[in-house]
Amino acid sequence: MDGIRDKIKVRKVKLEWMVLVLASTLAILVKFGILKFIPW
Amino acid sequence: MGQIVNGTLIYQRGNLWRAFIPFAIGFLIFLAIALPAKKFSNFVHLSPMIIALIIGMIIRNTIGLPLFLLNSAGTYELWHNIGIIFLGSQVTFHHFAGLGGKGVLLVLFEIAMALALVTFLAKAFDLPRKLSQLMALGISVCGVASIMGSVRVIDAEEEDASYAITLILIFGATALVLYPFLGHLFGMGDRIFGFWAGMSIGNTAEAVGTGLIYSDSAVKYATIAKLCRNIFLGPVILFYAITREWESFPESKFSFSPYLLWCRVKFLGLKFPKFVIAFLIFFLLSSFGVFTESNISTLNNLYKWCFVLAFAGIGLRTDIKALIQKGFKPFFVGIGAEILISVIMLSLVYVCYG
Repeated sequence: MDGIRDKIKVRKVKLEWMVLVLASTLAILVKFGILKFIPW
Repeated sequence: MGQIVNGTLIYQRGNLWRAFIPFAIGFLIFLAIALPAKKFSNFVHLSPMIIALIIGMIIRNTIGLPLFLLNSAGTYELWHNIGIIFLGSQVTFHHFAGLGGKGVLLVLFEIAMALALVTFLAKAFDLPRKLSQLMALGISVCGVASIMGSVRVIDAEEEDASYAITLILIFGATALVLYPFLGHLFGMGDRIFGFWAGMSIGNTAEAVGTGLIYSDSAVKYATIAKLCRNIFLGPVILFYAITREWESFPESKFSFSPYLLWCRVKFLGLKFPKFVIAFLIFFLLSSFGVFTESNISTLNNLYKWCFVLAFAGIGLRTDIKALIQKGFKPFFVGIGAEILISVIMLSLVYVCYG
């Protein structure tokens, strides 16, 4: 399996880690009041 | 370009930036649906989420989507999970205090009863197991959020999730019209109506929306009751993850050797959605006053927008032909369970707060 993976050079990223990174980035922006100027 | 398969982004090594193209395209498509949905919702007094969902479904089932756009539409999960995390910031310990011990007990009773009732009805009508589990979670805890949160835990198919979500949204949309009508017909007080809506409508947006349509005071009670139910999303998903682990390793169900315990913890760690932990962290941060009032208001807008984006994606991924092929039996099971839960909860709310 590893051999095949090396051959086609595939990488994987779990979507849930992307969720956590994006959510914490947005939360930091909210905390510092950067997003409050957006006309929701 | 990257591909999203079972909650994992797969891409060719060295092409990390190209892997994110589906997310960028997905975001632009969702925004193109969400912006008019939001504007239109001001005129028709309907949740922008429902409008985004309907627009998405119309596009998918009339003109259709090419494969690369369909792949990009699959990124809605990202926005939905972020929305749930930020929803955590809207709940504090005060919400529990507002409900009182009786209210928390009622919420626990509703969750247990709804889970048991939907499971029983689904078995009686011979529905597929995973679909019935998704329906039970959606109806009992917090609608779409709990279905999305448990898809990976119970290894359900995307079509099952889509069907369960569509059912929940149809019930939610019906409740938005029917509940305020019944409330006025029977002259219900704000507190009774708010608790009834919060404790019996599956989806958060529709439960809160129903309260808002009724009165400014009812919406507060509906929100308190609904958010209290949402808190139990984590424990209920954990319960399903443990059940699934028991089914996967039945021979070791009652074995407690350190190695097996370690395997179980690892299995649960893999299955348990991380965003539920993030939801609880936001709940604690909000309860301990880390966020200012302005922060909480921004997070409130942010989570609603995340849901509108996600609902546009759910609409784009909903193939009505595939739903019809599944038949109408799940629909009747769901509607039967919803009516029973609604009547039982209204009686209990009257007994406790009338």
